[in-house]
Amino acid sequence: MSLTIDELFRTYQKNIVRFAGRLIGNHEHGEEIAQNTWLSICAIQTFDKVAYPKTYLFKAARNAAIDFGLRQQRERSRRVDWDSLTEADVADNTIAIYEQRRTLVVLAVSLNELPAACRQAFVMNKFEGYSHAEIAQRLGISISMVEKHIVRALLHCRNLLRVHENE
Amino acid sequence: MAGSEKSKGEDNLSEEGLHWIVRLHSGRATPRDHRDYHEWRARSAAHEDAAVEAQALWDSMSRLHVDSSTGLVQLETAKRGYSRRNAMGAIVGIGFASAAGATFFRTEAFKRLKADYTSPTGHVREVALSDGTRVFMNARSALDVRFDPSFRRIFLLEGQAYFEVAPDKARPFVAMVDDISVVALGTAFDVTRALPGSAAEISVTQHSVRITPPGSARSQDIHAGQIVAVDGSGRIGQVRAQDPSIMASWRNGVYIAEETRLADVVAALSPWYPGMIICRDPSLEALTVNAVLDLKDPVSSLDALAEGLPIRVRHFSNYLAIISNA
Repeated sequence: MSLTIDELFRTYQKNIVRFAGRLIGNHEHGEEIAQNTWLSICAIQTFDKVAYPKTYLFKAARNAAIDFGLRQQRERSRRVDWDSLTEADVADNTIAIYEQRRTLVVLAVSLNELPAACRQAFVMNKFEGYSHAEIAQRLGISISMVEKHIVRALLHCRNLLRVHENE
Repeated sequence: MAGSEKSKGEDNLSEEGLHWIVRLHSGRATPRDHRDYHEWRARSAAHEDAAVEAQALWDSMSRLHVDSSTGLVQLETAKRGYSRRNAMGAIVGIGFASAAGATFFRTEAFKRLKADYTSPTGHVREVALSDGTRVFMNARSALDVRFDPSFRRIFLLEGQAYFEVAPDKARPFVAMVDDISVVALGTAFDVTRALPGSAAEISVTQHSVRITPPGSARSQDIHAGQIVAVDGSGRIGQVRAQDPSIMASWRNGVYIAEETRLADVVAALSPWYPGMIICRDPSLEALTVNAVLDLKDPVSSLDALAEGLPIRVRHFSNYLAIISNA
């Protein structure tokens, strides 16, 4: 028999809070995203027929994290000085800005979802400017392992972006 | 290197594009690598698309930040993230209530999912059981029915129910709230477990019931027009008189508060409200309320409460109401 929501909740609530906090890059928000995750799961009438409830649960948490990030981004945009924008700016850019924001949120969540070693190698390369050789030396792994980590990170981001592109 | 021979399908091309990006940012890319890359891109329109996609992916990440203490990627620096709070009263409110939320999931939503009979938010449900007993379930309630040759047992899992019990001397009718049993002695009675201060509250409109708390030999009979609460440790409280029309009012979608604690009023309104009602200050829960409230319009009822009490009710969307000090 598959797990009921009640059992899932008892087993994974703490994991979901941690996972969600990690995805959004801020553990303060883990509880809230976890709560949204459970709400979304509860709304599914046929949840007892889901084949892999745990997998489903963590995917729901990822979606909730992306939603949360988008909402965060939207809230920030309210503080934009709208008066200084011209109508033309708004017309041309609104959709593009929205798409760009969603891309950023999905990318952040994707990177945070990666295993720590993989993310670390990628961050050192992309954000801190270390060469593959330097990363290999600092992390005590081979250069080809560094390459694998970085390719994996990019692939994961690309795959998640594709999933969320058309929503 | 991966960007060489095998180009089968767009996925492969896309992956090759990513490999090129990685290669070019490895810190040991040679001028020759760059030449090879441009040559690769130029092979077809599909190659060019793959290169553009990979480049866009890499570039768009430049707007992200990495938190140096956690190593996690963030959309903005922590400093700006903080000021966001001022703009997000509703969201902060939900975060504040998350401990209560955990309880909410364990009780209301989850228990109802697997019960024999459930009632939705905002509606009374009437159920006819196989023995002829009629049950009225208050909004957002749940119960299991276990009839066997010697007993008729009802397990009230959530919320509140009123029973008009069909007589059957051979098979006693027992309503269970956890381990508290309420045996009908030819009766109409009401059981609720939705009150924050007690495990169960039982009121009788006809004849009497016998209440037996767990692990206790002491039972208590209560009779028509009486009401009594049982606390979490199984202690039966003082038997009080209660007007049967007040007991029955929820079945008509009305709630009558007479010297009732605000916490109990909120508990009564909650199953009629589609989202969450949160009391931010525990001291408010003890306020005494006298009011007749329309359960079918919980939003207006909350606002009506605010008119007569030193409280403020703020509504965030249709799903969150926060009660705070006025």
